[in-house]
Amino acid sequence: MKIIFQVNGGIGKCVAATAVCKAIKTQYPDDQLIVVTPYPAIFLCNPNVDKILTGHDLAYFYQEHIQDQKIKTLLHDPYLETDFINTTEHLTKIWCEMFGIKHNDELPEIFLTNREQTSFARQFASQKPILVLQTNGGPDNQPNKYSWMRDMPMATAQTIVDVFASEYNILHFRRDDQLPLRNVTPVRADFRTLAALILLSEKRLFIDSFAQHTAAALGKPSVVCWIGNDPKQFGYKMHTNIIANPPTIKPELRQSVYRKYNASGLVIEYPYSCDSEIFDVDAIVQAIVNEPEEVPGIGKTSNNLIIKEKIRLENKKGSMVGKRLNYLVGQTDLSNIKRVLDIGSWHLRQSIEFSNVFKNAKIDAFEPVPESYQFCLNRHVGLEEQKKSRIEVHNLALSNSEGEIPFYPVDPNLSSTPNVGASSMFKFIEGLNGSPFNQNLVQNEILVRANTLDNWCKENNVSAVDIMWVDVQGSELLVFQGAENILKNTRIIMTEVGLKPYYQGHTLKQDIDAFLFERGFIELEGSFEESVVGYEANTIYVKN
Amino acid sequence: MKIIFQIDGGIGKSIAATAVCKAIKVQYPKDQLIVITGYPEVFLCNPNVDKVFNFNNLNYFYQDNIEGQKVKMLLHNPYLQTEFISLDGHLIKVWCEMFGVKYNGEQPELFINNREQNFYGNQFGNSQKPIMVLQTNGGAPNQPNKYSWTRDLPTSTAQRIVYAFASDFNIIHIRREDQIALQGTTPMQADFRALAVLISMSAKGLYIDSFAQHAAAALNKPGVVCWVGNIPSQFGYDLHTNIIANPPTIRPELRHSVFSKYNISGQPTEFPYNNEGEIFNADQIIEALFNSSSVRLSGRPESPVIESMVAPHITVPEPLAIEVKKAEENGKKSAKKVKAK
Repeated sequence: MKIIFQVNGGIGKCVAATAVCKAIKTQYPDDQLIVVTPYPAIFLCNPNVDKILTGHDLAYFYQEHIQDQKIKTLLHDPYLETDFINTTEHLTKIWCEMFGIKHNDELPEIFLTNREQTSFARQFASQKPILVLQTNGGPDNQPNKYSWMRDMPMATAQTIVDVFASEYNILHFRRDDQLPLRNVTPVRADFRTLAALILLSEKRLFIDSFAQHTAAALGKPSVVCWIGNDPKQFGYKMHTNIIANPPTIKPELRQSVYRKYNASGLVIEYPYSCDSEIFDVDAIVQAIVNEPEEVPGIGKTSNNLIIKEKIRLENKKGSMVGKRLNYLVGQTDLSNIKRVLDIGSWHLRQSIEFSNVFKNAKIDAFEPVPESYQFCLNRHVGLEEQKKSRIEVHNLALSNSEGEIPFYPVDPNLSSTPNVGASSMFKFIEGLNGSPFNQNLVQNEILVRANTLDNWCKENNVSAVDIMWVDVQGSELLVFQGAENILKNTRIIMTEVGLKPYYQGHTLKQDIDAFLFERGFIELEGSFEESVVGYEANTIYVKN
Repeated sequence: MKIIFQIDGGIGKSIAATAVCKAIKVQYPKDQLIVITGYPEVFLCNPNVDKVFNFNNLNYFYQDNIEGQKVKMLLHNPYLQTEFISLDGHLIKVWCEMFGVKYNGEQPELFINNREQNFYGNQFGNSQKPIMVLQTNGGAPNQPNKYSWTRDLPTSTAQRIVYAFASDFNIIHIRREDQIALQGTTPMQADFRALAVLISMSAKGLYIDSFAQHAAAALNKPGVVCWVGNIPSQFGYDLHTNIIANPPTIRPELRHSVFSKYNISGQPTEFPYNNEGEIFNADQIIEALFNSSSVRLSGRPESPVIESMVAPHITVPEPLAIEVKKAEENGKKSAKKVKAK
């Protein structure tokens, strides 16, 4: 059977219709679904849709798809349904039920190819995180540039922009005929480019227009501001939906027929004394600050591709983390990295590099040397809020035992090179105090606080680790020995390994290999890279 | 509860919708039925309809009829239903079922009061000859094609039929000024309710698939209806004599056809004949008109127009019925002459 699903209306409605497509295909998996729409770009690559046609390419449609064939036509407009007019249900549910299709809470879906995502990610690469903004909707050249019923008051929007402008690259979706804002970059592009931009963005602020539907389709929670329409009907639970304040004056509804307010924002229907009465700006700002990154499980493949691009950019900047993560691309799922441990942080650089790539990850940095710890703190203070809130620095040595232990920091003043990074819980082997790096290093002895990773995780309610970055100058195995429990819930270990000892007690790769192998890790093929020729290397272990 | 029934489309569709109103009222007898249409005149005096609004005047509709009230909206267009597109079932049945309203075989209804009947009847009632009503062309004013081969009666065919009956009937041709004229007819352009009275008074009717055949059905006045692109099982009525066009003689070009085979405006590229003369057999139509009866079908409830609201002297009287019979006999002779030519 051929199912012909006609979707009229704007882009947002067409995006919402992708949820209906999914429900249709669930109910009729063996039938052919043909979508007739003015916006075919929305349905491209959608596995539920067999053909997409526009009004321009309906030549011979009757002969090819209707005449003498078994068909089911789904052509009605859900806006005419009783439940829609009564605003009792969500649009997609009404749409499905109108056609006798079971609604299983399907959400809209947009399918972007790898190529599209990679290409768009390059196009929108930005030093600052991206905040995407849609403040005005509706079709081209509508009489009112600003519809009070749907759009965000411009003064409200400008106040919000000014709050975030220093920390975010704010991209404003708008056509030339729509109202501009200061301190934003206007973006006008085709639908799929804008979708990719939403996918790349850190934060999003929308109205009830196509962008909020698209963000839902891409699993990107956003802040959405509502005035005349109701999020129960057009919105999504994943978003933070901010509803306008109640009207302050009685509106003139002479022209209202099936809806209370006209979407174009008829001036006579305006139920406020002025625009500033509509929204509480602080509530919107707070909601943007608290906006979650993404909905787990939605857009996993897409996120992997975005992360791939972020890793590429990070690598291009000379980032150590970027370079090492490159080995993992395509080997394991990096779409949902939530917890990273930077053990032996020294200067916090790797923590920051991780935070550049994984925008949703909590990063714990461990540094036992007091001066280095202070250096990390100083650096942490200067970070943008979005990173600062996710990175935490701990003045702690991780080992296989708990308590105060001797530690041997490199004295930068007495050494040939201030290589504090060679500080270790082990003393150099006599005669090898820096010579592997062609340096002459002098160690001091101090006492530092040590703990096992298992203890620390327990105390801090950490039950799983996605990536463990270990650079502890010869004591790597001791760290792992103190992490028996958490290793069960650790996915990736990126570590330095000794090949030939230059510290007294230096743990070596063969022992680390064996220890981790027994706990389900294997070394990622091709990830081994000598860092100090003959003595030391970097490698990656992943859960088998 | 308020039931809001919106009817898009032309006047014929609004007349057909009166059958849906009846079915709605059977299912929801205690609820208020509000009709929104481009042709409110079709629904005037209809006891099934509580209020009728024109699309052009819906001021305060939301406040008065929707906000905070229990409503049932019947707004969808039946032309978009699978059964309609698949030509599977009559429009009225598809319409009712689309809304979950039980269809009990309801037919269209028009309700014309005595005053209207007297007023318009006086205008049309002074004809010496029985009236034959003719509608040969349909569609909206100022459409690009004056003649739509999909819907209209070919002018030469229509003219031939007129010649067959002109001597015995006062042939009143319902047509606008922008529509094609026929010799031997009296053109008639009037408001809908006047035309309905005219149809109710006529002895014979020859129609196409346009408003007059729906109105005749609503008035329980059998006519002869000629069909080209549409089919009577979808838009027609059993009380009429439905004459279906001859099968196509050439393969039509259907590049522009989407949800229906032919465009109702009569796209020249879709014309599936070599010429208009191939579409109908004029003799068959003439024969059907001879045999058509102005007497209402038995077994169907009498039209409310006739029974309850028409002034007695306007109701087709016995002498006129005799006249009609006589005219039919004469007409047959005339037709034979035409055929001989």
